[in-house]
Amino acid sequence: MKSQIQAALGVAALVALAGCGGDNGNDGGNNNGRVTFNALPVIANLGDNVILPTYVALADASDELGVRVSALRANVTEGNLTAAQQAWKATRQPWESSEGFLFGPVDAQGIDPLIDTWPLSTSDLQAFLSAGRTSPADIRSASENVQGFHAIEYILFGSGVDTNDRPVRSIAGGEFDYLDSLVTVLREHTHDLETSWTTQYDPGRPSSGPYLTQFKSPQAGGIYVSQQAVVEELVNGIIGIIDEVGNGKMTEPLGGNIDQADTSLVESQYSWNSLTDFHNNIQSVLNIYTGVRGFNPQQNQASPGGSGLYAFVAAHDRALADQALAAIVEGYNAIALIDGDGDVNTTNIQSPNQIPFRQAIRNPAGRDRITAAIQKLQTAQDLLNSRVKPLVAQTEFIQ
Amino acid sequence: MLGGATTDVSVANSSFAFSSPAVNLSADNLALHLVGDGDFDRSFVPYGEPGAQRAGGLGPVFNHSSCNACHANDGRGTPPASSLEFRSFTQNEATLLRISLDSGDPRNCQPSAANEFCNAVAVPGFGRQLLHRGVFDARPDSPFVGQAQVFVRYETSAVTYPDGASVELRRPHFEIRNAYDGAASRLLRPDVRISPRMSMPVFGLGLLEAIRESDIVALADPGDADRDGISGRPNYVFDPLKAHENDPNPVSLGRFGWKAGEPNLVSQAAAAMVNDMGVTNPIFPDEAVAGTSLYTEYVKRHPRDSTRPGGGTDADDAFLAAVTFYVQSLAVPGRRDVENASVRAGAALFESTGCVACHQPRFLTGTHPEGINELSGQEIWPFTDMLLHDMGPELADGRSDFLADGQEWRTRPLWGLGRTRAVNPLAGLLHDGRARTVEEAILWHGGEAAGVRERFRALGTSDRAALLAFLDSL
Repeated sequence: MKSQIQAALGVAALVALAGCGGDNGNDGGNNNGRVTFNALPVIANLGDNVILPTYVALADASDELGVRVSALRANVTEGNLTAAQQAWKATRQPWESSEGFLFGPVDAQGIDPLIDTWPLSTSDLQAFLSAGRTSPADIRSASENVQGFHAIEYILFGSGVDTNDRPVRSIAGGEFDYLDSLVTVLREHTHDLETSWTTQYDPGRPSSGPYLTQFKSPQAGGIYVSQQAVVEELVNGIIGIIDEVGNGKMTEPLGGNIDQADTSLVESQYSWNSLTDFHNNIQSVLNIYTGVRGFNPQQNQASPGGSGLYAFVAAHDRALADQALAAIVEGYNAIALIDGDGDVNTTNIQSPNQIPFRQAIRNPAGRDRITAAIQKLQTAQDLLNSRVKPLVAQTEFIQ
Repeated sequence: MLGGATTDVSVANSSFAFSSPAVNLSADNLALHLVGDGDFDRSFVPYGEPGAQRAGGLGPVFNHSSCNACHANDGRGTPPASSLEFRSFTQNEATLLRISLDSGDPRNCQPSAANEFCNAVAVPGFGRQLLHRGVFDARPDSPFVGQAQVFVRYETSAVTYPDGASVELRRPHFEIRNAYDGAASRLLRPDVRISPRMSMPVFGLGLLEAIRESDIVALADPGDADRDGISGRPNYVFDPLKAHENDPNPVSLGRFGWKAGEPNLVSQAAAAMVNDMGVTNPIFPDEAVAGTSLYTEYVKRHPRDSTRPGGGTDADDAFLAAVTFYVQSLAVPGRRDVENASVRAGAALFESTGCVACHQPRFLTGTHPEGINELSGQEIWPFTDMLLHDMGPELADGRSDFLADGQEWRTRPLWGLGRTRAVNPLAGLLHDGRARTVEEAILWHGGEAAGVRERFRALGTSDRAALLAFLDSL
């Protein structure tokens, strides 16, 4: 290395960097005029009463799915198929309700793609099935695009093109083996996820401890070095899923016009569960924002004394806290209206006056309702991005 | 500001720290960035699959199925889990193996078409990268296995400081088994060189692309003329863009990758698509394994997978442009704890121990080669000289990469280093992900950096902590 470089950059320059290169000292420093807030109760509540219970519910529901699939395999009846289909939807519910906090072990351990890769490779799936390579060990060494929720969905519900009600007699023998193995491996992943929050987040290091501890105890040297870091994680998490639902999951299949609508891009299209998925995604936003798992905007109210992000925003600006909640609820309700029944409480396609998302994108009125929902979600996203997110750096976090 | 006007000072220390768009992007460029953001996450599936709009053409052999799967949250990936016994790579590894034949010392190679511009010598029947995964039928004998399987185990050792504190180090060992062409495979012979490569962060890259070549070359001291023990050599590498434009001498300064083996981000992105995912594109229209018996046999079984309508490629110009722009325009995260006394003391120690000899703090970017105004004329603090350095036998892969020899690595940028664990709690540092912490990474420095490492080891407890605090502030 040529010595002129060292001359060009001595101690003075680096110390100057420490000041001038310094961007704003956003984990401490002068807090004159800044709002103070102790986020630890919010963080603890979200960890203990929203995030961890969601993962526990996911693991439990996947166990129940295993029970139902075993029952179906043992006794091939329409009733057992329906029960297995319902168990799949019941497992899907906590998973989609976790996507507002898709950080930590679910990401670092690569669990998300193993559970929920979309699209599937149906050609590989069929070939895999035909080859009879369907033991749990085979699944563990298979690509992510032939396993997880959507592979199970594909077998339980069929193609979803005209109906989501596959006749049980159409399920071939080998499919039951595959289904059973898929659920076995899914359960392994959901339990690994729960364990990572309760016991050990690094599979290769027993001393790593629970991720929940890291989350609830931000400190220097930890994964989260400050309360601010955790709050930033949470705020970005809910913004991220609103963006994904509005600009990804709904906008991409919708296309620019009705001729460009592409049903093949619709996630959970086999079960017609897409709208419920989207709804649960925004449910996860409501859960984190209010601190109430299963927050129901028809029945519950957020309060400044609560233990969700609402309380953090309200510490700065109560009106903004309400405005953001209202924007999220509007998006949530607008998703429920896409099926065309005019009821903001239902997304499950059960009656003739409802249409699933994959049909709605090819229906002029349905497209209008989808566009309205996307706009509502965009409004919520813009508000959270432009007015809530900046509050994170403007707060003095105290204990 | 570490990344000049691109810097996002609003991010603290969460998993989103590497994922902000440059804050100075124009509205049009932000829109392109967001398209690229979606494409970077897109999970590829085999060609012809329903739902594969903008994401068809995976494989038939590959390392992973999306950009984001390796570059987790735009940062480093998770290395294979620690194990003292050999364990097979799973379907979800962020590490891949580069392979080539031993070809002697590359340092004096004169680039020419005959020697593929000093490129590493491909392993016959395999190429220069081991694609360890496959679509279901890539190999009839082994579903979902690619050219071969990779196994890894770790061995551990300890370093003790003068004050008695100790740090455990771990080192991975890789083994290739079950090659598609059998036990006598060319791949398994002893002259095959293997270089593990862990995915690295992708933010700030457009700024590095905008550093003037002359400013990088000016830092080089290949013969250590100033006798400071630090050399620094530029790599000159095959430039696919120049070749695409029929330049008779398609060679450029290498900037990206662990050994600076890629000259620009379009090439980097296009190479990653075709090599890591098996996704052909306008720069690399042929599969990386084209011509091998594995591929020939595969297309006999799957003839529709050998051609694309209109002679097109899996990914088109728009896809490549969007993904490239995405990595060009990710913001550098702002610093933190800048007023902390320990951090300020650590800054001084960073200089006095000699880290700056390779981790060149500051550059002023020139005009971005693609004319991206937001990246041009920025004062940046990446802490890399963009040059190759001998890092000693402990880190050596023994594999050349254009002019880089088996002990040389390009200096890693240090910006954003303190966010590593927040972005991925299981991230691995260094080329094979062996280091779990920055401290471990420092202790692995050897070769030209051995003296600096020893000065670090000799520091007292508080000074060591201060230097690490400075790095953590970046």
